[in-house]
Amino acid sequence: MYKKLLLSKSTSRGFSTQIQTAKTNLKNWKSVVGLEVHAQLLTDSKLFSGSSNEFGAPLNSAVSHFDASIPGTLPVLNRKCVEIGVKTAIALGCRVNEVSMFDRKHYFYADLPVGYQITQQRAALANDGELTFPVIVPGKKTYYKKARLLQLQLEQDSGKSLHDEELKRSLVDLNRAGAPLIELVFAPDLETGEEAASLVKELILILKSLRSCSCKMEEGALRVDANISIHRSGEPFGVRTEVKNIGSVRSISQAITFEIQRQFEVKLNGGVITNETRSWDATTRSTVPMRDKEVLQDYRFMPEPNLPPLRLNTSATDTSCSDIISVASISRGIPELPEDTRSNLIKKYQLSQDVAVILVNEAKLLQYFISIMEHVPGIPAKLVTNFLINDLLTFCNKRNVDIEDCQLSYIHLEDILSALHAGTINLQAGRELIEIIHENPSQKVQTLIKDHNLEQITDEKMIEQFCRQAIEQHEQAVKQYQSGKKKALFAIVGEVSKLSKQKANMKMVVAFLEKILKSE
Amino acid sequence: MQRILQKTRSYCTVLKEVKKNQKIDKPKENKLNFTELKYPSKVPSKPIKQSFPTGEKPVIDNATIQLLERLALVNLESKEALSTLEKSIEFAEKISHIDTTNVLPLYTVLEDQNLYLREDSVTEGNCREDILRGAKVTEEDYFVSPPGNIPLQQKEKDFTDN
Repeated sequence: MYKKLLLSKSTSRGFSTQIQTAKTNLKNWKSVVGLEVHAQLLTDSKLFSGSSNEFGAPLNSAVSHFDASIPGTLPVLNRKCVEIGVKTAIALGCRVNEVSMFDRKHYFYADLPVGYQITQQRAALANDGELTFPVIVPGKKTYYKKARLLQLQLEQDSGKSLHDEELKRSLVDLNRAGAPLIELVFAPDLETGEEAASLVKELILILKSLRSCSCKMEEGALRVDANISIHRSGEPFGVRTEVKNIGSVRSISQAITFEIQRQFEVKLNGGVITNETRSWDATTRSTVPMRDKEVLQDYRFMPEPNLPPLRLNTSATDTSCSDIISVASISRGIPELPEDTRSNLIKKYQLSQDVAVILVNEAKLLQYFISIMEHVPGIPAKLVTNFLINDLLTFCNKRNVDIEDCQLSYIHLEDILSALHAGTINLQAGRELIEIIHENPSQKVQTLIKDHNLEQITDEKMIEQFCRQAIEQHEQAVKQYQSGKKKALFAIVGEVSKLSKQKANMKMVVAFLEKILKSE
Repeated sequence: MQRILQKTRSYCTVLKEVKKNQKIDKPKENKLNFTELKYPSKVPSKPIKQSFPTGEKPVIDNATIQLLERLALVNLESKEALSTLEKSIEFAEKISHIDTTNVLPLYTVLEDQNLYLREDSVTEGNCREDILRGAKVTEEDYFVSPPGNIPLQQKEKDFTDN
């Protein structure tokens, strides 16, 4: 055991130095990333059968005879799946196809009892869309990136296998077998892990606002596979590897960054990249080759003989009949999409783009923001966004709680912000209130301000007293300030803050100090 | 019998009335006489011998045989099985000589039908006992199968641990 630990330590150290040498040489190389996303659709029943599509049902209970591939059963398409597929396609700017067809894609897995997956290969539900999304890289300016969506198709999910390594067997639960999925195939238009993670983040926002998918990656409701290759700039694309089993938005970025680095190291050492499927291991933070798919798989695609073509009404008239869904009538029911929300926020409240991006990414914050802007008249948008993002969100991140689980209610927040706006408390007191309320959510903000003595000091005499006291203690800073070093004032301001137990109105303090120091 | 045929295949209506006193169980009399059809079928009445260029005997290398065995789960090791496979390939090879330019493929005879759409409601399932009854080995409501699709390195790890 001890030996093992030592070994892993030394390898990890070796790796980090490798990264550093590699980074200097990476400049001539380009990485190419393409994503395939599978999203489980929010329906009551499965794609081709009437069994339940609920997550977490008892083992093998949400299974119909069709799902278990009992002979004599036939697929019957779920109308809602088509509607959700069309809705998502429109939101992603796709061309929805008037006629689409189903195909069989053959796999030999125990969790796919019929031996093939019904999917759409020759003629998918929709093609040629695109997704434009903001890319947030810490420390860099937010920029927009565009990725083409090549295809959107309806297909079945497989069952789930639990691998029992000791007894060398798999335990199969067919509850997920036949669950409805849409597969979104994106063109290899991305370059980095951050871009891929940002694409998925935007896609999640869209799918959630459309109510297409729960997007709970931890439940496997949204799954991302990444195709990654590297090539020297000016040369054709390199051989790609596929990374599967990425379980969270953060892992997407990590897995892709790791794989680009791994490929680069292979090339640097004169190796060859093979076309293989790798699996992301979140605990070791590395990609591992998968046993299957060593050989190029032959899926033996064939038309699904049991399903006639799926037809949609793609004309402007919105006559839907029982078996033909009107695309026009669905497109009218599409809600505001995240990018529209952002531009509306920017226009209505003069927010910066970065602030709008953060608010839209956190549904709860956005909800708070809009309600407060409506309920507290005259409050500046900047005061609200600063407090929500710099204070509330930072607090939640520091405590590692989800914003949804924070004990602070909307009422609390509105009271704190009203008090801030009215000048009853200062920002420091606001921050303190978040902490106090998170521990003790039953109290009212007004009583807490009184009980914890958090009112802002605005009494001129008291502030003057604090200022004079601070000036006496900081002769050095006073001299520096008077000789033109404006920054020296901060030292004195800090002292006043300390003297007043962080309750003085800082605006007044700064004004007072400037007045006193100039007159001296 | 005759009536059923007439109903289902309207394009091969028989001109001649079937005599009532004819014995129905005579198989020869029951057969359609293609020369007497009102609307001749596009299917030729007599087999047409066509000579396709006979290509060389298909050569299948070992790797392909292994792949086929894996995909089809059929044992191809015996000479007999291999020759059957070769003959099948030779037989199917003919199809590649047929000119299909400008002919749209027929995927299904139901291609002029619309796909029926079902309302989204739960109507099936909750029949675990039925479903599991067909399985030889089960474990706590799970099906049990041989392992598959496990990351490659796991095997190596087992090896070093031993």
